[in-house]
Amino acid sequence: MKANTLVLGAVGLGMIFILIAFPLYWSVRTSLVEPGTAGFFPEAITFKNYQFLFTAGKFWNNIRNSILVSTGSLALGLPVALAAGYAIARFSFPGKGASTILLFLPLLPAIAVLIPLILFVRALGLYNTLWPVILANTIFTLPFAIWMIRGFILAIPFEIEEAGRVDGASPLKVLLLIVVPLAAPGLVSVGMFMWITSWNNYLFSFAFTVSPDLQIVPAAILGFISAWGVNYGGLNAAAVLASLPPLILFLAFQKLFIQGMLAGSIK
Amino acid sequence: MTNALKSSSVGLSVGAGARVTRRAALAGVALGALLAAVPMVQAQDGGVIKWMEIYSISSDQTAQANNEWVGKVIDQFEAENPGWTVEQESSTWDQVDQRSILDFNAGVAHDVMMSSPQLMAKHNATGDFYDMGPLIAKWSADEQNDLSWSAGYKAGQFGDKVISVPLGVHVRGNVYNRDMFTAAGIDPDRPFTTLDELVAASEKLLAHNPDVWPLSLFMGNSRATIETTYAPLVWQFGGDFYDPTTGKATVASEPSVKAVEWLYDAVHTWKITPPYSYASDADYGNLAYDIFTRGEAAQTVGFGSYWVAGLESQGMVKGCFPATPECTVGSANIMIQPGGKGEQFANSWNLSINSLSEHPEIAFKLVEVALRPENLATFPDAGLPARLSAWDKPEYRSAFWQTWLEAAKKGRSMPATPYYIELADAMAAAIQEALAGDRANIPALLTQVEADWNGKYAGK
Amino acid sequence: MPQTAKKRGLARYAFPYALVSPTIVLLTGFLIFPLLALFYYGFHETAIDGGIEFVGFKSFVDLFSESRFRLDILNTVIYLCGNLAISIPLGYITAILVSSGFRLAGLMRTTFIIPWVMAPVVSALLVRTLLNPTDGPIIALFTWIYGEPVYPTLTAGGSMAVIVLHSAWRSFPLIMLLLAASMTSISREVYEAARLDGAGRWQQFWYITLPLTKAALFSSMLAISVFTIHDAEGVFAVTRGGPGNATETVAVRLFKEAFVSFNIGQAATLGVVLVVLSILIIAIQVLVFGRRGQGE
Repeated sequence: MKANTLVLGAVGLGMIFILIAFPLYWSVRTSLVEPGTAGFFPEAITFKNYQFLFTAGKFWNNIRNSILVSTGSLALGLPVALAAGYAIARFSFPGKGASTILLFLPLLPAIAVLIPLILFVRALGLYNTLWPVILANTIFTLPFAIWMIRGFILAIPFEIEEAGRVDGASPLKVLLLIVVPLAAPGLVSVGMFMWITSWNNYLFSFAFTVSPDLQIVPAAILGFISAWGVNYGGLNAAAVLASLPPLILFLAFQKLFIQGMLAGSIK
Repeated sequence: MTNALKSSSVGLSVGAGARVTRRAALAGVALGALLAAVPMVQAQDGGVIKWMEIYSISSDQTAQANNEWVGKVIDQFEAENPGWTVEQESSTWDQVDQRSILDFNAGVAHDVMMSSPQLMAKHNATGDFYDMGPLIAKWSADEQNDLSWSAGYKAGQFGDKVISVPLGVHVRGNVYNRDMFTAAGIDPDRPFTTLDELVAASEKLLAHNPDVWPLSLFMGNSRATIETTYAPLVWQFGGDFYDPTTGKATVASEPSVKAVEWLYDAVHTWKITPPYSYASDADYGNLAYDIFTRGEAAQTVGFGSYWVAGLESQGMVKGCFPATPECTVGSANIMIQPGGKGEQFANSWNLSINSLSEHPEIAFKLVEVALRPENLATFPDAGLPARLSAWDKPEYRSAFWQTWLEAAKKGRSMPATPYYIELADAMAAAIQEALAGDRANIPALLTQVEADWNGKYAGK
Repeated sequence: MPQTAKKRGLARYAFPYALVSPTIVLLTGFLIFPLLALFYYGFHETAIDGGIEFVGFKSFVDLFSESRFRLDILNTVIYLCGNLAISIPLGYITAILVSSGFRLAGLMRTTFIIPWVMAPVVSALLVRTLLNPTDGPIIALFTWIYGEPVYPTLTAGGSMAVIVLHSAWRSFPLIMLLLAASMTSISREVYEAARLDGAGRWQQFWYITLPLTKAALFSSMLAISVFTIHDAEGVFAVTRGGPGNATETVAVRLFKEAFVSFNIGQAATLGVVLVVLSILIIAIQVLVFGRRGQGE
């Protein structure tokens, strides 16, 4: 057993290094030096890339907007996806097939229909606000979220819910008090999926907003690519900072993840 | 004023006919009120003008400096036009033209927008920019001539119609390392006059120091290849890759074939150009600028006038940025690309007015504030001065800057076809294929590109 | 009598209908108009000055007779299959590592998420930095191995390998996440029993882990497939579809038509193709993987 753990650990560490640590290190390193500095371990470290982001750069604004968008689409999308995923997993009802087909709607590449989308948003009076950005992010991640949640719910033995119903709980209570805790790790994963997909999405913000104060993090990052070249120092500084909120969120929610592992062993 | 007109129109309707019904009187009153209201609408003393620029979106230091300039222009305009405020709108530099066309098609209005000369034909065909010609015609002849000489201005001209005005001039030249030239026995102060001279000198440089690339140029999969590398070569071979009289692409013509074969030879025959110049991830900044300042290339083609600041900070020229009369060249200098008439691609950042704007004439006032000589002189992204009168100033009298002025005067725009981007992208892809394949296939390859493009877009 | 029975009949479904209705409302409300517009534009030719003309299937016929388009489809298939071939095994390996419960698992879980968290344009630029011909570490590595510089992005095959690896790097975290969540619900007793029966680690994996995580694998594969087929940014920012058109996928082509040349009509035609392609890929996966048991 001990030898296996060692092998596991070695493989794990090796993989971490090759896959992630090296590119990540390179990104952090580039953000801490003057543009154009070569070398693996440069000596001249400077924080001015970061300094500039927060003084004249107003990067806080971008982060705030991105958090609003991502959290908004999660808050709207996860409950909706949970409801639909549960319904499709556990019930059969007339029109179930049709609603499953509707899930294909967001396969629509938004790029191809930007003009009608903008027209639609304008008609709703929501142009140049963050609302359509939140809505669009929710809607385009909904089908996958629903399908994933369906999978997690199918993995839960139905007997537990049945027992709840027998005990007199309403279907809603069964869903909220029995299914949700059991599906917690799955819900965390799907939630992360929705949050992160929204976090990195640039298209909807581009299409529906023009004000400088509504710009999100990807826009700020793209701003470092000018007609005359790329400011790699600034770009990597922004990118490193942009990776932090999702990571922090993930760390915070890991408890639920582990909780799921423990719950699994009770069976 | 309103009341007087109202009562006079009522008076008119009453006096005009013997029997006036109440309805007619009311109609007269309404008409009078409407007529009175119309002059009020036109002389409206307030509102919002939007300005879509490419700087507020970025946290980059250079973008911030430009954003401050925009703020300064806005302050001046607002001070002079009480009741009018300017709202900034954000876009990235490579999306601002798309944005205009996309939003125009979706019915979203903007006012002042930054725009690119290469896309003027497309804007003209789409109709998303307002014709400023009549307003410009009100300027003095001197004022008009001060701006209308550059390629960036001409790109926005369609007959008497003017849909954009330039804020500066960006042109390219060949930058070369004088020290490396001297070391290889080439006269650093005598510019080449033919492409053959350039090749001969490059071979000499290679023989002298095989570790330094004699000539770097960009051949990545983007239209920058066409603009900075391919088009000038075609022009220098005496032709063009588009014929405006027939509206057809001429990329299979002899000058064009010669240009692509020249590029092929540069990499594979004479070996003076690095092979990674046509890699799919080739970077324009790297191949036209970084490689030179790092001392890994002796010359680069398509060196932008917007990079002189970099030469100054590296100490390769002194007193040239910001321009002073004492500007002297050190290890770097530029020459106009030899061959033909020495024409190079010139563009600029332009200002246009959206055709859905509700206040185009007020928007034009904002444009005029931006175009004031003192404002253009301090615009960081201007590049070279857009105003001919600015070139007479002592700080531009040095030989270095006069060479840039000559290049700017010889500057040419990209073809004025609405489908320029399709042509440029197809050619950039073709050049990559040409360089990765057989030299003998180049004419056939270019004939195919020409046939494909003409099949879809000829004459449009 | 029949009336009350019918009422009771439909009312029976009140709960699931209530559950599904927000989804239906959101999807149809927001997307019906754009969907109709997509097909409208696909069957009409839009002139540059706005004039519209019905052309039936012409734009599709023109597209399919282009050799460049056939290459786009081929590239899309290669891009997708290449990604899945690498990200699925990688997803499994990392999921096992991460759910094995030893001390470093938490750190690994967080680090392995990073490629997915990075914005596509950022990871694309990172790739370009690593492959920079003058000071990129990967080129330096190749030079050290082969003795002379090797530039993968100079050739069609090399460029395709680069974008496939980039895509797999970005995709495996999601697979890992879902597989790990699914693995945590497999109770240890099952593994214990198998071990006592003499099953080795590989057999445990093949006969227990694989089948029991099938649903999670399937749904993550579905999501990754659709995202990969639709991924324009991740490819464009690295190779712009080059060299030539060698790494141009349908999504990249669509991106170019919509964002670079802004041809509404062509973009719509490609959009329809992309939708059909996505449905095809999903259908294939559903057929191959079958459907897991129903709930009720």
